[in-house]
Amino acid sequence: MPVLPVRKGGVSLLIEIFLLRSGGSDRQTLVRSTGDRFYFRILGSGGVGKSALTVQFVQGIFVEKYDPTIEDSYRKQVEVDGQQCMLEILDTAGTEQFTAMRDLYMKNGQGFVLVYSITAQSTFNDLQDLREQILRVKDMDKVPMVLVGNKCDLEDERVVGKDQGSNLAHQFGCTFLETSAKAKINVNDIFYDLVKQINEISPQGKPKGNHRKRICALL
Amino acid sequence: MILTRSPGLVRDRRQQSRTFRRCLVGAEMVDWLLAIGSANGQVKSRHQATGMWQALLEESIIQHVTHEHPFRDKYIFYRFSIDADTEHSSRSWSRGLPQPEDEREADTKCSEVLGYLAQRAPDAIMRLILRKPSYERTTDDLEMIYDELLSIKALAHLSNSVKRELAGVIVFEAHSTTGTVLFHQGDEGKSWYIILRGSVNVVIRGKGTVTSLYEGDDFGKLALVNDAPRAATIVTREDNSHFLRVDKDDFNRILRDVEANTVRLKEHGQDVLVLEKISGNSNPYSHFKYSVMSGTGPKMLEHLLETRLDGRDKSLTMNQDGEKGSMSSNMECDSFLDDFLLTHIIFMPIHQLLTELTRHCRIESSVQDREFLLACKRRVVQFVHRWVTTIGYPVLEEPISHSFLQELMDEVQKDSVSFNTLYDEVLLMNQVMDIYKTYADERLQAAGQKWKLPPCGQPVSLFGAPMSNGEDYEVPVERRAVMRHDDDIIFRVYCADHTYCTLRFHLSTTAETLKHVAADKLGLKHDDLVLVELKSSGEKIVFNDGDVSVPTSLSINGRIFISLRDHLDALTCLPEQEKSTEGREMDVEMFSTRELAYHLTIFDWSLFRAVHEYELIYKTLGRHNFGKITSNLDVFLRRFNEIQFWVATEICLTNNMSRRVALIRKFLKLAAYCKEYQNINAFFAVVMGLGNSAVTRLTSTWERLPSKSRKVFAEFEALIEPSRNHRAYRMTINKLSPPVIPFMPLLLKDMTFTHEGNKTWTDGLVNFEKMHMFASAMRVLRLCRARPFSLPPPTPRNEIEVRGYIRSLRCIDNQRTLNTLSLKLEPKRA
Repeated sequence: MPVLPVRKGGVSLLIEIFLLRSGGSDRQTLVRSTGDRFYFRILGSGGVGKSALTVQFVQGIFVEKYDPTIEDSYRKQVEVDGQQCMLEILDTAGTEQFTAMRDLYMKNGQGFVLVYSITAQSTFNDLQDLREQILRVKDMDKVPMVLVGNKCDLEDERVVGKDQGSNLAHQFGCTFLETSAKAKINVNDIFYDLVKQINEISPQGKPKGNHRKRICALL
Repeated sequence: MILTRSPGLVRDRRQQSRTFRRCLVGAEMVDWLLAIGSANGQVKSRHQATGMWQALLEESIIQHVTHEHPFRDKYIFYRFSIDADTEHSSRSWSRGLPQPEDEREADTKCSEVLGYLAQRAPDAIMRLILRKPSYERTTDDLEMIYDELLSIKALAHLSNSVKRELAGVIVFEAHSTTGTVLFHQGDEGKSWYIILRGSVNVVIRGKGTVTSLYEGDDFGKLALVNDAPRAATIVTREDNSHFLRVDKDDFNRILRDVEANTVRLKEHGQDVLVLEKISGNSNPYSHFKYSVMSGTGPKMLEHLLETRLDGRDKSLTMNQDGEKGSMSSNMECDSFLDDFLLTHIIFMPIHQLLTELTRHCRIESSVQDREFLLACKRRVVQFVHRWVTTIGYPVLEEPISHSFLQELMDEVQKDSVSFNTLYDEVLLMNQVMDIYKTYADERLQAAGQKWKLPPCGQPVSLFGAPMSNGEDYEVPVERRAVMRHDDDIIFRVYCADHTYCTLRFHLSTTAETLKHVAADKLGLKHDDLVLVELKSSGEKIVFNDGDVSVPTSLSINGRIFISLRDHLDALTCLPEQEKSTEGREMDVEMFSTRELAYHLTIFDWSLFRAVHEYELIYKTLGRHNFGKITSNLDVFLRRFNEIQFWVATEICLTNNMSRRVALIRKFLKLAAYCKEYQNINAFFAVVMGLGNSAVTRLTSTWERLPSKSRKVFAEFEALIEPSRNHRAYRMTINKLSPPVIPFMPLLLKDMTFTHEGNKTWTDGLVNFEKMHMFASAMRVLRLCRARPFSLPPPTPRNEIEVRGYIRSLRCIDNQRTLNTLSLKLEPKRA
């Protein structure tokens, strides 16, 4: 970090502006003013409603047209604890059959959402492998993660009990939420919780961009 | 009655050597009314008096002697209608003068009547002003019209300055009798109407009255904005209907750019078509100002035929080259027709579309004029031609297609002889029939085409497939046969104890049928059986009873099992599933990388070409919903996994460190060649294979790689990097020109999210915006295949071996097995 001349006046101000522009400072205030970026990944078997969660979160109440080919369709600016964040979501929906692509998708992720459907046991069983793969790819023992039991509006068709979900989350050491993209239950909470988890890991300089080193160093 | 006091007003008058009996002079009438009305303050001005007389005129109590003029405060003759009726029958004053009791009655009623008339006067004056040609309107007139326009619902969205402009040009039009036609369907659009009073029926040929419009509604806008013919006939359904009218030139000048963004067409009280204005510069080449947002299937088809296809006789417009040229180029820029062709199967199955088209050709032929019928036929023929040439076999496959095409052909031929027209259409139909014939011949040749699902690689054609000769080097692109719904496929179904039966069925056979037959053969007697894919990872995917093309949808090392629903968890993989597939026992290092890439691309291209655009829809919306196979797409998608796992497998199976380094370098080169050949799908697969965690964790191996290679890998990784919605890839692919093999998984993802993020139906109408997005994704396939793959082959070295090799790549698709292998190569560091 460059040493700032401790002199009041024009020059130091200029340097401050320069730092602000170039993002060359780790000083929290400067980083915050530009807004933090978070990279989230949504994983789970086909048909658990991943895409519905993403669409619901990004699109919110503005049910206009959703064009998946543009960048904005997978990101959203939110405020968590007074902090402006840009959340970029990479959702594997539609590409579940390309299992080997997961490594690439997991690689630069910071927060992970593991989704199963409370109406299908097999989607729940698949998650153990998925988590192992994440830890292996990230080469970490623990990553910010939320376990999500989706389709909780279909209580009549439930086969995965709520206790099963919370037990697994306990084992994973992560947050557990039951959600419904359709009934708009707990959808935003998934993402807010992830932001908080990441902030807890690196409370000072928020992870910005793909600075994985910083996360690793902290762990 | 009231006039009895001044009998002198009514008398026979002469003007221009014509005698008008018992009439009054406008100016004198105003004088009189003012005289009797001003006494009690009911009539304050000549202006008001004029309005009162006009109100009487509109109610047909008085009339202009020759029905030419509205009421004017001038030397113009009017008479009472009752007098006019009797004028010819009796030349004498038949009724005589009013009796004194009548006079008294008249006196008492006078005030009441005047009050009523005074109330009616402003409206009447308004109409009077509105009847004036715009050059006669005074500033006061304009102000009054403007005030009036402020209260009209149909104009509510317009700015006040626009309303001021309209005040100068908007005209009044009244029709006194029910059944008056304002304009006919097919007419040139000349004006836009707002209903002030009364109502109209909207009539469409072949459908009758589709809806009625009432006070405050407007109509006729669409034809003006799109320069299209009238889409319906408008008939008054009440006596004395009043309208405001804006004529085309004025409309174009004032409203064209500010007119409402949304147009809703109604039939039977329901919206049937919703159009939205295309924003200014989005497509400067298209003359269509509105795009379809939503609508019912049949109405969208009708709109499509009327606006996007030319019903005119081409031989008449042949000489106007400029116009014709611009017309066709406009058609190209507008994607409505293409969107419709690509997506109608979602909301309007082929057989239903055929029924609708038949209806359009056979509209009440006895009543309608010939030119209109011919125009309909021209449009249908052009539509059918585009349909068959762009969509191909799915249309021809439909059982009733053939009879439809044959009938259309016969009819067009008959018309061309009897009416001496439709020659172009006969040519088009001939082309269509040729395409049908080619299709039928191919089907006949390939009848009984059989496929076998080998333990690895792609399904192999066993018989009947018209494959091009392998020795034919002049045609490097082999034509792999397209898998059809009635092709047979041979495959195995396993039990929990790993015994199996071999089945042979059509690709379109449902999972339910397969389940029953397999249960029979394997001697399983239970109701709650399921057919399931068991992947090498142990993951199980249960087939829906309605699923078709089951065998081709398997993952690389996946197998079909049949099991009790409750015993699914007990299923275990066959030992062979966890091992590598039986690839050719050949060393990839033997081959020239360029030759490998070339033949890999040619083979991938043949798989890619066999995929039909519709298969994307079947897959995204669920093949069981259509009962249509997705085999060609399945096979091509599987190829992506195959290449990816092959790369990882080859590296993990290479024990020697320096050979591993050489292999990674070779794969990097392979990726580079694939990129050069624009086989982007394979490029992604190879790079992702190298990025497999079982490969990337081999740090010692990577460290030995020259820094140049590591740099190349980093560059490639940047291209496949998924952040910002695969921005790097999307930017790259936009710059390429065909032939290209695109990164298929992303196309699938776009389809999935288009489907998930947008409703198919909105308020009972097809959400056509969604269809447009689907179609855009599907068009990627067509754009990529717009030119054939025709790069010259590299100098052949081991051509035969290479061609065989790339068809059966060995791969382990169980990530755990790969990880175990990787750990053996480079144990985990402490």
